[in-house]
Amino acid sequence: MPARLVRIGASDRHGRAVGVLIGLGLVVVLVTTLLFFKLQERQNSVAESVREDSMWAVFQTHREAAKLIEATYLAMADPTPEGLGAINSRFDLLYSRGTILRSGYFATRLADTDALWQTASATMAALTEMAALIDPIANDPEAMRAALPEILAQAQDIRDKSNRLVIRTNEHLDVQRVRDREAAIGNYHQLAIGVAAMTIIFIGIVALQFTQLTSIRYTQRQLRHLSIRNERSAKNAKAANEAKSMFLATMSHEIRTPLNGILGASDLLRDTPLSDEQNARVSTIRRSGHLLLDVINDVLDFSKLDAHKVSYTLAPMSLPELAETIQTVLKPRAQDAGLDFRVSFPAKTVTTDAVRLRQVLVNLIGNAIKFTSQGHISVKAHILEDQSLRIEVEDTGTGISEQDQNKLFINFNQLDSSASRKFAGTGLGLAISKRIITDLGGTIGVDSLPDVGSTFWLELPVSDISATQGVSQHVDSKDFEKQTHFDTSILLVEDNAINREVATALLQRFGATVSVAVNGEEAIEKVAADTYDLVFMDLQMPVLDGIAATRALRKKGAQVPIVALTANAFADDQRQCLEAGMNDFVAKPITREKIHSILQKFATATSQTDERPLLDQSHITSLEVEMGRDLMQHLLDDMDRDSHELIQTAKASAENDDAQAHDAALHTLQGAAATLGLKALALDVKRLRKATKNEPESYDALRDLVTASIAQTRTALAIDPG
Amino acid sequence: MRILTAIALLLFANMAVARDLAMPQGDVLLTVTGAIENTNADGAAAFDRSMIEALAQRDTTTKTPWFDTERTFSGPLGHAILDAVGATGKTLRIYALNEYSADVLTQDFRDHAVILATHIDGSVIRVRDKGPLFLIYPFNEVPELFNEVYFGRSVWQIARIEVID
Repeated sequence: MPARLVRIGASDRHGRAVGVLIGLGLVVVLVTTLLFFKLQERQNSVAESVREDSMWAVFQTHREAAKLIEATYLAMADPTPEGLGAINSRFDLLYSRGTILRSGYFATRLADTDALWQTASATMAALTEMAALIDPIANDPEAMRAALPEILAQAQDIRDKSNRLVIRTNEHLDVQRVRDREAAIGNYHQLAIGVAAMTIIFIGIVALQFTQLTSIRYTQRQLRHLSIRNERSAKNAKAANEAKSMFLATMSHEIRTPLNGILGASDLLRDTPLSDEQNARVSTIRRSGHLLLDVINDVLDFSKLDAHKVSYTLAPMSLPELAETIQTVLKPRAQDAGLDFRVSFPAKTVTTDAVRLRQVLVNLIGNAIKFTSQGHISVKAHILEDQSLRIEVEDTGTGISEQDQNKLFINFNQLDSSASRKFAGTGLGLAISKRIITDLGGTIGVDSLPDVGSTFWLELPVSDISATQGVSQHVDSKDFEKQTHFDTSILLVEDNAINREVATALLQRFGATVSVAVNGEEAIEKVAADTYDLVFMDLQMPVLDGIAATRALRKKGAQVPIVALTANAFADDQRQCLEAGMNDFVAKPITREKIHSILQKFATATSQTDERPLLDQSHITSLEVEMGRDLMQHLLDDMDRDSHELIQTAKASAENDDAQAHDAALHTLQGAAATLGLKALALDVKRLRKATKNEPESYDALRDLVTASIAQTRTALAIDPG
Repeated sequence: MRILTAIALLLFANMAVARDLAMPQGDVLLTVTGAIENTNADGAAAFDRSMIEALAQRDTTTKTPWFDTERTFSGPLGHAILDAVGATGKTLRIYALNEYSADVLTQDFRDHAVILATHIDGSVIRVRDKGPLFLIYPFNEVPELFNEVYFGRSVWQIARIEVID
């Protein structure tokens, strides 16, 4: 790592150095360009030629002076008007030459050289002096002739002066030329330096770019290696994760299979005559088994959620149906714990993942039951203004301190170790719930006061809210009557011998005729050969698994309802079952309750009685828990005996018009029936008490009802008749 | 008949113009010799100041290497002089009073508004001030001309022009 950092630092420095070099290069290019322009300007400048011009002008002046002298000599030799006129003309020319010394570029260029300027001025002064001599006498030949010697002397003076001027100018120009050459050479040197600097900078840039390229290539190689390493470790991690999932799935299956045997066998054992002590032990086995099952389910569920292997299916879901499910699953547990259990859901249909929401609610309510020793559990749902569903689970339990509330919903967290000991569990329930609700886009939380109770709530965005057909499900104390006898033909497909045995026995308890197959292939053969009302299909089997067998059966056109027996209790697995053509699924281990609900759903029922539920099943269950089976049996025996006597008394009183005795007998009967949970009997007696006219045949019907009710109760409690 | 007469008259008139260059009355400022069609002396065309001032004139205000500031020069257009003498040559050898001479292309007189300045800032140019005639290129209007070649062709104190084929 430090090596890489150093490299990156070096690369940074490279970048900066290249930047600086490029900046320098630009400056040098600018300077060189300026130099170049300067040189060019120098070349283009007219200074040089003006200098040459001035030399020319000075020379011409000198020459004209010589010519004036010559003209003067000629005039002296032959003083004709023409000869004298020629002097004038010559002087004009000389004078015109001289003026250039005073004006134009000559003056400006040479003004800086004192010696030269003095010489030029002297020449000019001489010219002016001579003009002053000539001009007044130009048109007077006599005067001109007389002035000839003076003219000659002045012309000679001008010639000498202009001669000096020629020499001075030449000297000056020589100096100037040398100076110019030196300046030009200086410029060329500067240019050369500029070009050299540019070359060096260019070489520097190239070198730096080269090293940077090398560095980049090195870094790229490092990155490539790193990404290869990362890929490899990601692959390893993925493989490890897959191995973990695989292990968990295998463990799940391996644990569930024997657990299935344990729970099934204990269910069966419970249905046999047992002493109180044995009953208690069986209950312990069942409780422990279910706890173990919960733990396995939690761990598996969490691992799946954690691996994001869970997909969600949003579909319309009826809130009353959800309420009913919760009632069915959890009310017995609440009642077992001596708690009042209320569910209040509005008659609405919302779109969400029903399976997952149910899982969360079961978890929250299960917790509430677990941590509430007395009082009530209340589950309420309502639709909020922002089109979301809020469900609250309120309990009157121990409550949770504010400090502890923050720790909830964290993986593997239970509030304290004493609670852990007291209430078995992985502590994953709330974490799983939170995961699910969060995945569904909702929030979950808790409001709680210690020693007052807690309200766990969740809010889910739900779409397509509509009213459910029918009335609001206020299922506060509704009971679900259970059919207990099914005259139905069932094919059980299960490869594990113990499970097969247990399931067969459980099914037979409900009066079903059970055929077995040990794998999918055998199942297909049996379905082809015989007619079944229902098929229980294990999923993992040798030769041909349950999913494949179901597909094959559906392909062949088999209509028989198929219910999966699966150790994998996840929504995804269940979806797979339904996609294969199954009608429903039962998570292992199978219990009497599960089989019962499936049979109620699919099997042809042959109830011995009319549609009306005879018993208050949950009431009977709680009686059984509270009083024990022996006492229940005793009470039923008493009821069997006493009720016939009471019916007889009532009937006789009616015939004697002894209304008071009639009502007293029926009141006693109604109370006894209600106490024992013989609901239908209690209702009929109540109706009879309110009847205005005598109904002799009612008493016989009551006797039959008593017999049927007691028989059914004994069956339900698995008590041998009599 | 009338047409023939008209043509004859025209021809005659032309010839009369061609041959009849007025005689100079005052001092001769400029003499043009060589390949010319119109003369008023022996193979030469002589001009005095009034003849020169009768030709097409132009004012040229320009900077020059010979004066510190811009000056206004005026005088006859070069091509007016060429037309007046019926010059046919391609080169003009221009002589100054001091026997300096420079060759100027006839085309220069056609392409540019070249004048032979007689006045500077309204005053007659004396010989002492590079007169009487000073060949001036329109340097301000055509900056490309501002170089040594044209400085050299800018002959002053012009006395004579020889038209060469």
